Amino acid sequence: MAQHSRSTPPRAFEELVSEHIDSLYRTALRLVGGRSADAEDLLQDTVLRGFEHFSQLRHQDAGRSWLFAILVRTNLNRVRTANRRAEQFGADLSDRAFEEALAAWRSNITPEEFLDRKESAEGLIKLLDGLHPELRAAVVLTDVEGFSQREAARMLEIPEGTLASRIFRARRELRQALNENSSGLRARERT
Amino acid sequence: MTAECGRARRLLWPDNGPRSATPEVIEAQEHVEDCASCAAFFEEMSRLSDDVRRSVGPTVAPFEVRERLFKAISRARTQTGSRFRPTAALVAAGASALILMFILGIRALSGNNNPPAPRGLVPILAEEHARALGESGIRSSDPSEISRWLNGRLSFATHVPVFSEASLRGARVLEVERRRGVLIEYALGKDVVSYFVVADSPAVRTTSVSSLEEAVWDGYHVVSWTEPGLLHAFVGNVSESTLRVLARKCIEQAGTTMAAFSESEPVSSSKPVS
Repeated sequence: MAQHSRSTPPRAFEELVSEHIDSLYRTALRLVGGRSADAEDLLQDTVLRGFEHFSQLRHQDAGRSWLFAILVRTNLNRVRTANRRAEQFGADLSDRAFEEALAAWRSNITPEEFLDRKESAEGLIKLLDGLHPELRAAVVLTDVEGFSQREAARMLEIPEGTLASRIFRARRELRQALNENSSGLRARERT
Repeated sequence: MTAECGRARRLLWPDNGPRSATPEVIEAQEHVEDCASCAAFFEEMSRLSDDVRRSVGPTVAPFEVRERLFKAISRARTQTGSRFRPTAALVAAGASALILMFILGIRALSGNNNPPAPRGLVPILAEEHARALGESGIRSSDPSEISRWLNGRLSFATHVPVFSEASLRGARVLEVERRRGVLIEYALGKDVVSYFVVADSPAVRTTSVSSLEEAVWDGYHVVSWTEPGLLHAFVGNVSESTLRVLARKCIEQAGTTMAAFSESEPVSSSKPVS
């Protein structure tokens, strides 16, 4: 804290948090699977850790990504400590395995099904919340918060290729679940 | 579907960053131009990304969350003590909160004329000071935006006055002696003027709008008045006459009638404290 530059306003940290609190809360909510009490706890841990290390933020312009990096790392530490679902994640894909998975993708969705998806935003949120935390973090940072994959990879401390493969795996799981939901709906409509 | 498809999809994986035009990237681009399956793949990736973004949508952090976070920061800041060096504006805002507390204390104790016990007051002052510094707020010069922001955060309606001689800088909610209030901040030249509206103490509830009262505390001037249920005060390191002008304009804008108020009326003054 003592390393703050002389030009740093004294309430700069509060202002930084205040500026991004809505998107931080949104991301926290998704990272913990939609449980608001857990999101609040995560957010409090995040801002206290941020406050403690605010002096390490050398460029105020990078404040948003710095806060989000703390948020996702704090969450992943909590997840790893709790060892939740660690057995389901497995190893990240190698370049070769990633290419094979990409090549295996079959685009078989119709425009009507896409329309159905748009109408089921709540359903998609539930599917998103059901993803493994490592995959969910990758998707939320890039697709929801709009960070570049380079920024998100840096936040998660993983190579960009690994981040890309996680995003792909997340989308693959989402699509599979969406297709299953659509099939179920159609089957119910027929009966 | 070939291995070439997988390679092209990995090399051209959608991102918003720059991509070097290496020979293999150019080759992959040429492949995608001729491959309907790859084109469909990239289109579906884009749609899935849009679907996720749309499904989550904008979210507003509840007030309780904001309050909890900023109080946590405030506590942490109190613990770190002198690591932060407040600017003059911050000192003014913090001191303003203390002055308002002083006014509230005087009002609560009116009738017995006993000053607050210093030893008991100091920790409260320190706590409230730190809380005031850490409260969440909005930076804006737009009174409508500030009004919207305040809506729902306070249990009473608040008018955001506009002055030709002072520019609006922002507002924050605060808690003074367990009473929710708002501090609206103005820049008047190089000085900062704070306009407080705080729920009045039930013990000293007034039934009509009072006259203006003036006080001085630690070099800061205060002009305050009450209406049923609310205490208003302008605080700043500017002259009392300036604050009185602002207060009068504020009252006029709010449409409040002050039967007892006139320029010629003697102003009742709180006991100055240095």
